[in-house]
Amino acid sequence: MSKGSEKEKDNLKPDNVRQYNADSFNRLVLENQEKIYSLFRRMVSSHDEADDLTQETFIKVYKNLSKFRRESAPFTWIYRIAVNTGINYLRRQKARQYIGLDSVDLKSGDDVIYDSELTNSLLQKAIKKLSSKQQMVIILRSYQGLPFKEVANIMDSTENAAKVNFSHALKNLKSVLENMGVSYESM
Amino acid sequence: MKACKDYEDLLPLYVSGDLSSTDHNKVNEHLKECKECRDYQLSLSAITAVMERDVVEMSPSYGAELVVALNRRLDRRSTWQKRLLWTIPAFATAMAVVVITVISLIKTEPAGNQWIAEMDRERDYLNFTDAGYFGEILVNDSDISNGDTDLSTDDLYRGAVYHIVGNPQISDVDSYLLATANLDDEDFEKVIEQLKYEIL
Ligand SMILES: [Zn+2]
Repeated sequence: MSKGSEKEKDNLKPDNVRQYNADSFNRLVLENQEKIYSLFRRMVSSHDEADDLTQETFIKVYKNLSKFRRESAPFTWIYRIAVNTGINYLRRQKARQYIGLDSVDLKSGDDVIYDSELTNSLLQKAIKKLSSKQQMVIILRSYQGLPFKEVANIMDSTENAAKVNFSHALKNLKSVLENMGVSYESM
Repeated sequence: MKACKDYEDLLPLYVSGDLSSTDHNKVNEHLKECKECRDYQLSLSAITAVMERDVVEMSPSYGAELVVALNRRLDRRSTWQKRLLWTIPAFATAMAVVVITVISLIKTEPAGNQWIAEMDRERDYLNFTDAGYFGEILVNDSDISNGDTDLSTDDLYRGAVYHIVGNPQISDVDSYLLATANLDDEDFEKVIEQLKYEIL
């Protein structure tokens, strides 16, 4: 009922945030877990990593509930925390490779396949070669199917900047795939 | 008249359905007469089609399991925080004593003593943990006494940066990295370089 959902929204107003109890946190988790998990599942290669990042996101949500202002929908706010967590994670990985503690996959030959069909697993490999922001915008727009207005809110940018970012990302993705030897003929 | 290059720039948004109807129509007209751009568009469409079709497989019980895991972690967190408050000052005092002892020992003992190497390593950790990394390193880091000896300074520094950058529990670094979320990757690398410099 609409009356019920209005009441839920009231609970998220700053005045009432302190009363935000475990039940409403749990509900927030249940309502958003699918979106957040699938966002991460598209960013990392294992369930365990995606699960870790999902948990990390909701722990941050919990810790920051009192800071949440209803300038945006809870969904946007949670997504934003998730995107920052994700960008952070990608950058940690990069930083660790950068300082030489994680082995970098130097055998780039592994990635080169000839005249291969474009599959999702190949695409995910290619996406990893983009900058973290470009990865995010591609995931949010094309995989998660969010409109640019929402993507911009989540990534804290303008709609136009998000579109420009997406255009570059998709064009880069195309050339990465071509370098990997993907052919589109079979599509 | 637009050149193919200009159309190429519009094609990603054409494919995702995000162009204004005017631009959309212009692109349509051009695609009719230009095979090169048409091929480009088909490639981009092939890519986005794969992404749009993709479905993430999830266990139907994932949500419930997540709620349980989170509540367990949040319970544990509150008792942990209390414990850390006790641990930090007590350990800090103990370490100060130990470090002084080690420094005096170094004068008499030859280098290479495993224990001293470990203590040196810890002391170095202490030097850059002023900003609140301290307690968590003590409690969580198993690397500290992993028995590595003869670490070069460089190895130690790398280890330290690794620890700070690699430990998701260290919230100060989290916020540092978070503040850089809008940087290009190139600028971000400069920040990491700077982080390395500042921390060490
Ligand atoms: Zn053309």
